[in-house]
Amino acid sequence: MIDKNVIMGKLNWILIFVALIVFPFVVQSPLLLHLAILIFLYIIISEAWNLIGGYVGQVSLGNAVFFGVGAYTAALLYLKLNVNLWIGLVVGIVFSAILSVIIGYICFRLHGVFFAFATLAVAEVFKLIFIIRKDITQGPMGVVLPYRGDSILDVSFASKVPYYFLTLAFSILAVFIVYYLSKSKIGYYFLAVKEDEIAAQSIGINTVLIKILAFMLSAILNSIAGFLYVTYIRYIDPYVAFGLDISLIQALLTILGGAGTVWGPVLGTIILIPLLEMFRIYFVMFSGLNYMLHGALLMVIILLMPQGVINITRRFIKWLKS
Amino acid sequence: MVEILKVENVTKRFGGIVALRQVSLTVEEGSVTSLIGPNGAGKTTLFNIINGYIKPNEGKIYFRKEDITKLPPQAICKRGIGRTFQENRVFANMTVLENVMTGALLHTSDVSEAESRALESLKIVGLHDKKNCIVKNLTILERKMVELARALSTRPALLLLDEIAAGLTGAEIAWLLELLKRINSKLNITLFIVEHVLKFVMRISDKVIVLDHGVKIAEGSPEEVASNSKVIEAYIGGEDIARS
Repeated sequence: MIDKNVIMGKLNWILIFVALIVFPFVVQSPLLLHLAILIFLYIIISEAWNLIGGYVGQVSLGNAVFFGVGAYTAALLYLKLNVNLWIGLVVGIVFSAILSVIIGYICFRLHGVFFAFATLAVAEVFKLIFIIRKDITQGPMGVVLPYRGDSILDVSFASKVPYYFLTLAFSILAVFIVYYLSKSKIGYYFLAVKEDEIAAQSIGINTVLIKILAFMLSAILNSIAGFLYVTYIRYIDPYVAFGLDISLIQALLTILGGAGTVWGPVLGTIILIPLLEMFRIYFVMFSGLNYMLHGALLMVIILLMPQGVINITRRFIKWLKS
Repeated sequence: MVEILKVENVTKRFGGIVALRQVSLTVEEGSVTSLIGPNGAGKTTLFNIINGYIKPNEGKIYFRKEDITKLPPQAICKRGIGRTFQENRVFANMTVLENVMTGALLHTSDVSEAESRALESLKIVGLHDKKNCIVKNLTILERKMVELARALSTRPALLLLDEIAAGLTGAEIAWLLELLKRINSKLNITLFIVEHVLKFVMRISDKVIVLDHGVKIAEGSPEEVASNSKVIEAYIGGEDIARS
């Protein structure tokens, strides 16, 4: 019986994997492909927030800093110094990791709401710097990545399919990192720090180090997502890159799906991102209505399911099996 | 006897209030030492200083002859001082087993090894059957035992217990007494206890130290301390009569 279940479980994963591979060849609609790419991108940043906010319980509202740094580093190095975009990705990751240690070292002296506001302020400062320093960043006009024919080196493709696989691969990486950590010593330490920092210290946990580690991983994933965004959209400006939208959505998707769980952010993203896109498309004539619907939906979900959709889903699966 | 812990001339001021004044004491390896005193005597403050949560204004703490005064709490735990808290700091949303495993992970990165060590600690405190319960659903005694097992799983040489008997019934206290004696003798862990329940202190301690208003006023065997006139005055005399 148990063996059969294990095989069935593996079979399910293989089926999902095959479906994900086949999807872009079966589905020709650019809209659906675009939606899939967005979902993968948002899975990366919501898993990023899940690490620092969901597991370690530190509500960062400034993760856009790393998204922006990842996007701008690659784009500016490419345009101004002719550096290959993939090298730009690595440089962006290194910048983000270093920044996260500096920001973390300063902001982790604060707790709760004060930490949240401090990170929010850091993101706003970055936005202003990138707007004002026109000589380096091209200011509010933003940066455009030109299309120079299909090329893996330039991460430039006419078709959406390569972007589909690129974002899919990195979103699988993001989920795998969270899954792996959740089963490891670090995962237990993450949860312990969230539950009670003083008790965590009393059993030998260096809580500052744990928080900075989670923040750094969160920063690296955001940096990757920023890179993927700019290579896909081919344009970035400070308002998008360092905007509150990017910082908030990753928290919302995670909380909606289930913070501190491996699959919660994935579920939250799959549910909310298509809805948001639909609102945007169908309510285009009433400017702002999509934000109202979005807010109302969140209030309903948070009131009805404070532990996230994943909790209900688990109970539903249990009920199906019994 | 060899001293495992030595507190030397520790003074701690919070603003104008002197919480501890020139306190010196020693804890011998393998013993059970208790720290008693009226409310506000500075007992928990002293524990927090030993553990590294608070730094003293003056004085030093030695653990096995090493100066640990300036170390952070996690480093002090790694050297072998475990602790439970007066206000019961468990990881409320995790299971019993996960709580204790987090402690066991101090000495290993292997999660399954930590699990088997955690189960050993749970057997000692008798919570083995409830290993999969979420801790916030447990009784006070059970939560205290989760905290104790979590501290034990870090394999301490010295265990600081802050009011572990508070809020328990007579039968529970008798059971706890036997458990702590076993931990002391079988696992060879030195116990340093802050306690208000005097009956408990008198029955378990090798040595009792009495603090009053941040000053050590007596030290000795339970019998000596119980008959000490200063102690009687601190507890029964003056304003503290209601608490005795």
